Amino acid sequence: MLNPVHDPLFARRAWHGAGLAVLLALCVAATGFDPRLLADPATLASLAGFTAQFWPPALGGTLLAEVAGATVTTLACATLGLALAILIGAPAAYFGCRTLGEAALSDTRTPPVAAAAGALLRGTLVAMRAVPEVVWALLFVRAIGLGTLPAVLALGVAYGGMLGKVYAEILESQPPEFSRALGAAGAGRLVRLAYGVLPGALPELISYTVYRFECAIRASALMGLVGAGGLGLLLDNSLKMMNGAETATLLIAFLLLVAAADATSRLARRALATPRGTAALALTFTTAVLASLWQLDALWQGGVANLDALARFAAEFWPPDVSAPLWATLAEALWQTLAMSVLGTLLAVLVAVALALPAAGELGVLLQLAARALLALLRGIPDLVWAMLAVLALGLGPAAGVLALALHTSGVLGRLFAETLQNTPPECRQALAAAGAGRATAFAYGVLPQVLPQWLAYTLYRWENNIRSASVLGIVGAGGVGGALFFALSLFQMPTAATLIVAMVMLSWLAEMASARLRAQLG
Amino acid sequence: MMKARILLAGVFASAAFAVHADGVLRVTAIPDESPTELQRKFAPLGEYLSRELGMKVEFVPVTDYAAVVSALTADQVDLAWLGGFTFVQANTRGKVVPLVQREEDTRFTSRYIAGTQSKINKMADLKGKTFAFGSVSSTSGHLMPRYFLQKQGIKPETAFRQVGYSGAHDATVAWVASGKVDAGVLNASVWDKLNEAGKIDPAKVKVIGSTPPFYDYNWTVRASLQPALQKRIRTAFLALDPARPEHKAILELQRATRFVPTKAANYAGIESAAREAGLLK
Amino acid sequence: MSLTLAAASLTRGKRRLLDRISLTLAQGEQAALIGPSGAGKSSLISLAATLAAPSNGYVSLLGEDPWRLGARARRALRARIACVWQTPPLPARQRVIHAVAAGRLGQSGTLAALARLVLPRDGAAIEQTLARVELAHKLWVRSDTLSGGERQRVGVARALYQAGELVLADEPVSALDPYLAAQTVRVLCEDARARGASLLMSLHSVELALAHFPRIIALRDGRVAFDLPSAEVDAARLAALYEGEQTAAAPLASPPATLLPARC
Repeated sequence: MLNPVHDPLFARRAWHGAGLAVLLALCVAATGFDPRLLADPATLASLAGFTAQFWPPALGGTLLAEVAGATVTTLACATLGLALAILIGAPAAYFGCRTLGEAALSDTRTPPVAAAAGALLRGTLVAMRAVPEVVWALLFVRAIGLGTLPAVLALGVAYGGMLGKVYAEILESQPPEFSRALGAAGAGRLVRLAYGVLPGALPELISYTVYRFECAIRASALMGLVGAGGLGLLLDNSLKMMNGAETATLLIAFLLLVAAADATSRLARRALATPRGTAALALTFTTAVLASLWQLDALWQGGVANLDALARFAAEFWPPDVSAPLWATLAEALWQTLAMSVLGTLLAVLVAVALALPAAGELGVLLQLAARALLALLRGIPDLVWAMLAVLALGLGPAAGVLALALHTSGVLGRLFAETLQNTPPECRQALAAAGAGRATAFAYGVLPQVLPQWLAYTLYRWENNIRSASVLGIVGAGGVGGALFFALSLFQMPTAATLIVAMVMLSWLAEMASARLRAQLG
Repeated sequence: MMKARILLAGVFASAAFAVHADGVLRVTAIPDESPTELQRKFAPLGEYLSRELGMKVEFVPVTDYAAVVSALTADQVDLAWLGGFTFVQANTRGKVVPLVQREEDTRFTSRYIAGTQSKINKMADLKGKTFAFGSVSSTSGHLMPRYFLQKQGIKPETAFRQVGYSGAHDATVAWVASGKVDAGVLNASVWDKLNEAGKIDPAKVKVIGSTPPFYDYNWTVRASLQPALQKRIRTAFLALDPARPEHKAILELQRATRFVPTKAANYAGIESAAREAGLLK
Repeated sequence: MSLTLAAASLTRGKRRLLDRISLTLAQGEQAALIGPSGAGKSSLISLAATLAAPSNGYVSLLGEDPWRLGARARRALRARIACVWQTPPLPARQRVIHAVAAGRLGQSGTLAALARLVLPRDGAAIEQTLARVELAHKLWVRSDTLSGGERQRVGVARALYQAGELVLADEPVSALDPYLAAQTVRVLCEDARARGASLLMSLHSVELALAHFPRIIALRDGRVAFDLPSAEVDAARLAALYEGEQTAAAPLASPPATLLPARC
């Protein structure tokens, strides 16, 4: 009676399953990631030796003063970086926004010159945001040398590209009628923006900027890992010297900073609800920018780049290195990067599912609190920092990168998965429970089919992100194309670096396209 | 106003901004050891130079070798302590003048070390192990050991299971001692210093080999620095006399018996080694 | 007795949904539950389905008090009670074969049930069950491609497949056209009769109730207005029962699908 029946989807699923298994095997081979390493007594001993120093955290007066100073520097860099990004992104959006153009007014074709200029602008913005912040920082450190200026410029350029795109999208999403009516009455572009589009778009623009500020703080804290000042610099030193107590202090400082950024962001969003709050927010930001300038001004005295040096530096990247030996290195590094991102993301999904169930309150309040705290810790520590710690556990190489991506991503996905679970209507599961189904089966038949598409979509988004992350983890010795880039830039081999950066951007672009296609198929 | 000033200055300002306040000598050093150690080493030397030159001396800490090269060739600092390789990089990228070097730097060596648990006893055992250099841009921590290894037919990327860069000499020791890597290489001077200070646990780390001697570190100024000042700096270094107790302390911190004049030609060997090792193109 | 309510009340917050209801349903008996919207029909069904415990009073199902049983025994009891819901609780992307097979989750082991998601079993029986609601051709189709009426009939098929000793149905045909509605009610009644199971069905349509059920239980304001053989239900009683009635549409639950592409 209970014979298996022919499932029309079986063949396809079997193929998918087999494909996934092969992919997994290839990724494991490429990264050398062996979970057994984590249980290896020698590994555990060296890890235990290091983490044993974590408690108590170093609380010496000079260190605390340094941490405080570095935190201020980090905040100042984030603030100025965002200010620069706004200075870049806002005009770019103003000129790049299609619905503000004369052509959109009368539904005529855009003149070719304007169209070409628009395409050039968009292309520049794409390039600006396609290169990870840390890589920008690395480039500016090489170009300018000292201090916090590279961090500010890196944030400004990378986030400028993002703001330019998102601002333009927000402006374009506004209903065009007001702007058209004003245009018909003879109003110029700026007037159309100010009276027709901005009133509707402003809350969303500010809200996105606030979100970016939160990201900027996290990114700014990492810039030091490539020598650009702030908390990351201290963390880099402590980790390199294997000073566990100092590392613990810095990690705590880092987590507190991230939590503070989170809280500030939430507060700012609430302030947006009222005009007074918005005004206060603008005032606060302006004050912060001025305070940051005052704070960093001293550091920049005499350490300021000149245009010549920057131009000479940029010129060195041309022409990119296309020699044969580089292709071999490149192919291996890119494949390793891809494998790290895939394996790291897949492992993260396993951990995320295991933690999302308790975090969504499936297994009681006590476990919920514990799971949430663990998820917050996992995602609070950036993958680059996880990579530095993972290198201790697994040694140098891509295996550490896999572990780092898996740890950070499981924190991010775990929270998203838990949110999806909590937003799932309970009826299906309740009905199954009423028919006598157990918890596991009611979950598998009543909840899983509802959350699975969303979980997969989140996973794919995160994988796109992880491709970018995987390509910078090499900077701290955790495999992938970043290591080769760091090597080339340290030796001033700019043509090689140019090729590597282009390859890096292409890889993440291809991943984005693949992910978009997969997501479309999910729908 | 201020915002506009700095942001413009940051991106667009011309050389006018790169000129420093008069009477301040900006000094930096490649971060071949931890920043705290660099500061400690430099403090008395800075005071001495300040006294001798009659100007304020400011130490600018940097965490990245290449950033020191950039800073010196972009005229952002006046005087820098460079390694042989970083000097070659600076010399090929801009105009710099080497002034003095420690007597020891004329016949510098590096030590290959291994963890005692790694079962590595001689250089031949290194194959298939994980190995740490110091900084990518380091002479004694990367370039010369790599050059000599390659001469022995050991190409690091293929011979070792994994190659890493610790970033600094003392960090390399910490990596080997913790088992993060099986073996590594660092400059002999730092090794001796750590040993004398009792910071090396012989139960964990041991020396398995040494490189032939080569030219290494020197003190270099940017070429645009006033020639008179260049000369006074050189004189001040050369005047350091091990017979005088107050000078002896400074020299000991620098791990130098005395300073001797140097010239760019001394580093031609390093340059050709760098080209041969594929680190300079 | 299949179902016994003794002065059972159900309150939610300050609202009293059911007010001291007493009734019994004998083994093999079939009864329809009617009444205006908000009378407490769904509440009564959920009480009988053990989705809610009575705030006061007593509920007995198949001779047992579900709320005095341990979790395991209560599960076993629930497996013997089949329910049909007005809004069929089918996950959007689940295929019909799994949606129907879910009716017997209480009767199989956990691992076997999970394995069936990968390797479906018992397809012939499920297909036959679907044929009884005229959906045999939808066996491998995803639930979200079905119309509202088809989904409701898949819900019926799940209950048929579960083959409970007590069958509860809460407006199981609200989305069907009159022909299919009558057909579906008939299938449920015949199935229960054939197996000797008891059936309690709430219906919006008085005509369907009178046509298919020997006993009518009428609710109003959370109380039993009358409980009579259908022959004794006359127009006057019905007019009194539905006085001031306004029809309310049942909301259809749809899962939210939001995506936050976050990049930091």
